[in-house]
Formats: sequence, C-alpha cells, structure tokens
Amino acid sequence: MEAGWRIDSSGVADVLERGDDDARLLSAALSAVSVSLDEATGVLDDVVGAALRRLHEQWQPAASSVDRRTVAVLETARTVVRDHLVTDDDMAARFTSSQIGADDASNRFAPRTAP
Amino acid sequence: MRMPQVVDLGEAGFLALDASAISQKAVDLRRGTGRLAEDGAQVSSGWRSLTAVYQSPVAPGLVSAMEPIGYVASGMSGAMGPAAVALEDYAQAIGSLQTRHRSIDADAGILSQEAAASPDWQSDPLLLARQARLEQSVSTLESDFDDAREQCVAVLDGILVPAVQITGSFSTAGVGAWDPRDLRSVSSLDALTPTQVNAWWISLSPVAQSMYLMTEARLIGGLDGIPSAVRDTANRSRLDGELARLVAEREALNLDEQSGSQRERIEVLDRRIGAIRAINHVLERGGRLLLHFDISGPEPLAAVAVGDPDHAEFVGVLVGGKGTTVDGGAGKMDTGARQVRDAAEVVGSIPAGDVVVVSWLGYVAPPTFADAADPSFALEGHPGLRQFTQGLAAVRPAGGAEPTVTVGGHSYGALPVTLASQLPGSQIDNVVTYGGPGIAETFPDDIDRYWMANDNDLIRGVVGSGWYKYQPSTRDGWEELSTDPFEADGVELTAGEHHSYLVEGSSTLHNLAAVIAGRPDKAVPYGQD
Repeated sequence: MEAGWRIDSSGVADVLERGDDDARLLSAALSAVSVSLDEATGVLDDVVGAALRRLHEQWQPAASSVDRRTVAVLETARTVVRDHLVTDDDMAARFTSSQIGADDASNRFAPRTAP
Repeated sequence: MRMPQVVDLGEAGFLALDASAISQKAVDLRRGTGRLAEDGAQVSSGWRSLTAVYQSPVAPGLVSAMEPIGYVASGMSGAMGPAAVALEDYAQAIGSLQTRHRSIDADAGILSQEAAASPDWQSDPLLLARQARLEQSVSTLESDFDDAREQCVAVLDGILVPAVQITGSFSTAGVGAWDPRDLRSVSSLDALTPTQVNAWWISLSPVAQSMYLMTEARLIGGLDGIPSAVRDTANRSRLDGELARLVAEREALNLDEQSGSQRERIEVLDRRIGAIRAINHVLERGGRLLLHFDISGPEPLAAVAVGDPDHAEFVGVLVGGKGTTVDGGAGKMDTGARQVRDAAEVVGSIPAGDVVVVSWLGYVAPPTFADAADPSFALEGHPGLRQFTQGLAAVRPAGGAEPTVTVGGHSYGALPVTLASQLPGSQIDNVVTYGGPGIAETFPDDIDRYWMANDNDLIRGVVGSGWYKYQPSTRDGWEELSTDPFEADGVELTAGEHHSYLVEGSSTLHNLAAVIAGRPDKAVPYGQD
C-alpha cells in the first residue's frame, strides 16, 4: 500500500530543467503556428481570410491551454518535490538516530539518493 | 484606330491575390505544425524520465498529467494539416485562374484588333462566336473563383482544434503545505472500501486533494466514497479534453482508407463521442452531478444524479435494462430520474433537495433481446452497483444519518439490482423491480422488496428461460404493486408498461416514487386499484 520513496534531487532538477527547455520549445512552436496563421490571413481575400481568422480564434485558446498545462505540471512537480523534501526533513527531525536506523539511514526519514 | 472592347473582363477579385505568397504561407504553416507535433511529443516523452529520479505514489500521476500534451499537440498539428492543404490548393487555383485570365485577356485583345479592322464585325458570325466563347470563359473564371473560395472555406470551417483540459486545481496546487505521506498509489486506492476511501480523502490537505484532482481525475471521479461534488468536478474536468481527443482521432481516421480494424475503432470512437455528447446534454439541464464517467472499456459507463445525494434523506438509484447505453439512453433515463424525483417530493411531501435520483449506467447492459437471457452482464456489473450504494453512505459524517436508498431495476436491470442487494454490506434499503424478467434467487430479510409487472412487457418473453426461473413472489416477502390506471390523491394516473414505467402521470411512476420517498403505504398494491 505505502510505496517506497526515492528522490534523486539532482536528477529531479535536471528533469525539471529539461522540462522547462522542452516547454519553451513547444511554446515557441505554438507561437510560430499562430504567426503563420496571422501572416496567411494577411495575403488572402476577405472571404477565405475570414475563415482563416475564425480558425485562428479557435487555435489561440487551444494553444494557450497547452502552454498553461505544461507550465502548471512543471510547477506542480516543483512544489510536490520541494514539499516532499521539506516533509522529509521535518519528519527526520522528530526522530532520534536510533529510531530511524542510525547511520544507515543518515538523517533522512525517506530513503533517497543525496545530490 | 480606336479598338472596340469586345469582351469585358471585369474586375476579377483573384487578380489582386498573390498565389505564390499564399503557397509560401501554407508551406510555413505545414512546417510549423510539424515542429509542433515533435515538440509536444518531446515534452511528454522527456517528462517520463521523472520516474527514474523520483519515486513516490504521486510520481505516476505527475507523469500522466503531462501525457495529454503530446497527444493534444499532435492533434493540433493534425488539425492544421488540412488547413495547409486547403491553402495550397487555393493558391494553385488562384494561380490557374490568373493564367487563364491572362490567356483570355490576350485572346480578347486579338479579337478587339480584328473587330477594329472590320467595321461590320458585329455582323460577322465567326467573330461573334469567338466573342461569345470568350465571355463564357470570363463567366467560368468567376464561378471557378467562387468554387475555390467555397471549397477552402469549407475545409477551414470544418477544422476542430483539440485543446487540453485546464482545471482550477492548477492554480491552487502548490499553495500551502504538501504532505507526501497523504499520497497513495492508484492501485492501492482501488483496493480500499468506500468507507476507507472516504476516510483517506477527508484526511488530505486541500492542496493534496487538488493534486489528486489534477493528476488523477479519472480515478477520483470513479471512486465510491469520494464526495459527490468532488467526483462531479473530476469527471466534468475530463469531458472537453476527452471529446476533443476522440473527435481528432475520429477525423484522422476518416482521412485514411479504412481497414477492418479502423472501422472497429471508428465504432468505438463514435460510441464514446456519442456518450460524452449525451452526458453534456444531460448536464446542461442543470442541477446534475456526474458521479461516474468511464470510457476506457468497449461500452462507455456513467452515473448522473438529479441533485446532490450526499445531502439527501432519500436516494433512488435507477438501473436500466436491455439496450441501455450512455449515448443512447442517458437522456431518457435522466428524464425519468427527474420525474421520479419530482413525484417522490410530492408523494412524500418532502422538501426539495431531500430526494435525489441517480441514473446509474455503470454496467454494460445486454445489447439485444437474445442477450437478455444471458446473466453474465448482471454478474459482471452488480458488484459495482453494490459498491456505489456503499459510497452513498460512506460520504456521510460519522454518526450522522445515512440516506434511505432504494434501487430500482427496469427490465434486465432487475437482475443486477437483486444480485447487488444480496451482497454483504450493501446499503440498499428497498428494491423495486419493474418490467423485469426475473430475479436472483435468495434475498436478505432486511430489504423491503416490491415488483411491478405488466402482461405487455416485452421482456416477459424470456421468463422461465434458464436464469429467470426465479420470480418475485409474496411467499418470499415481495409485494406486487399495481401497473394499472388508478386515482391517487384525486389525480387520475395512467397504466405503466415496459417502455413507459417512468412516464409522467403513470401509476408505476407514482408507486416507485412512493417507495423512494419512504412512503410505501402510498403505493397502490396490485389488485387494489
């Protein structure tokens, strides 16, 4: 029921950093499509241009939702991991070394790989 | 010599357009959307490496929360493919029109020169014929331009861009203390009883609850023991995203040549799309809670409450029979549930909000009449019904009053209902079967039981076949209620039969409502109408 815990702090930091980079690239790609739609509208006649504008209006909130969700998941992960570590330390502080298995467990309640 | 204008080329709108510029923008769009699909896939796949460095019960949830990015970005990219093609086609059409226009213009110039040289050209049948052909060509140019525009607009207007779901929980997650000790794995939650689920849920901090809503909406929405309002939020949060994803996949399949497996996939997608649309239609009626939403199996499943069962004194749970599906039956069942709720309030003189009726489409019903003789559908579905009723009680505060739960089984639904009632720990107080082919054999003594049957019930055709050898009888403590027309409280009620047991103003609706309202004394027994 209670799964084991393991945090490789530096590994998590790397994944988050790469996640940020990937998110930026995705955001740029979303913007590029938006720019293409805008520019294409500019070279079209009124009738087809209006249809493309309608599509663009549909595109923008969809693109925004992808952007927002990506950032939200990254930020949530940061919070979860940070709170996990804080709770770890908090719990560890409540126990003596004998209660948590002495030296083998270091000063961490939950086993994890130190950075 | 002044040349006459023998052909009027007019002011063709396509002449002002730059076909190569349109074509270039189409290429840019195609390139941009291609990059989008790759970048979206990279976000999701790169994020999966989190599990290698962070292991906790919530880690899978964090990873799965990013999964939609890849497929939605792919869907968005795919949606833009037809737009790029339409623009390229349009650019080609414009280029072709402009070439044809130049050719006509040149021919018109030659004709004008010849006309200028011939004072009687308007009497020359050959020149007149050429003039007519050129005018026809001009007219065709204009209509072809209109066609090209219409075709391009139709494609652009037909595109549906999928979006990813953003719930309010995103904005609140990260605020306040987060205690990972509160977290449990998905599989561990599945193994808990509704009472244990509820105890776990109320022990969570608001932030932890938000986290679960965000990362595990599918799990939370289907967990009996989670408060109904929370389940509703979780289930609703998935509707738009799932619909967009399914529609995008469905449209992508439409574009391809369809193989047998693709046709099967299309049927599944159509059922799921239809189910979500039916649920949305029901939810638009207002005052509903979506207590279950599962499209992972071959047949979509759902449960919709008219009202909030967590705060009602009386809860009715209606279970449909043969052929009941979410896409085909949610609307009708919900209408029936609302009518039963309204009638129960009247029959029992119960304040609004104290009676709630749930359309429970949480099992796969037999699709055909022949399948109705097969008990496996009920055997598969009845544990879920039992657990659902347990959840209704589990969400109540400790020491507080539990709801009086009546389960109504229509037609084949009589079987899962009577089976669920026999399981230990069921929170069912009353059972009503109506238009049923038969029941499960034994029955606990502490459950009040009623049945309604009409000789016109089609399902009676399978009575006596195999599984249906057991029928409700007064010897076993069942009470038969009338399906005939009768008068109740000065109101003339019509007869109820197979497809109209829950019709407004029917005797059967009245009787079911009376039992749900805790006033079986107001129901009319068979033979006393």
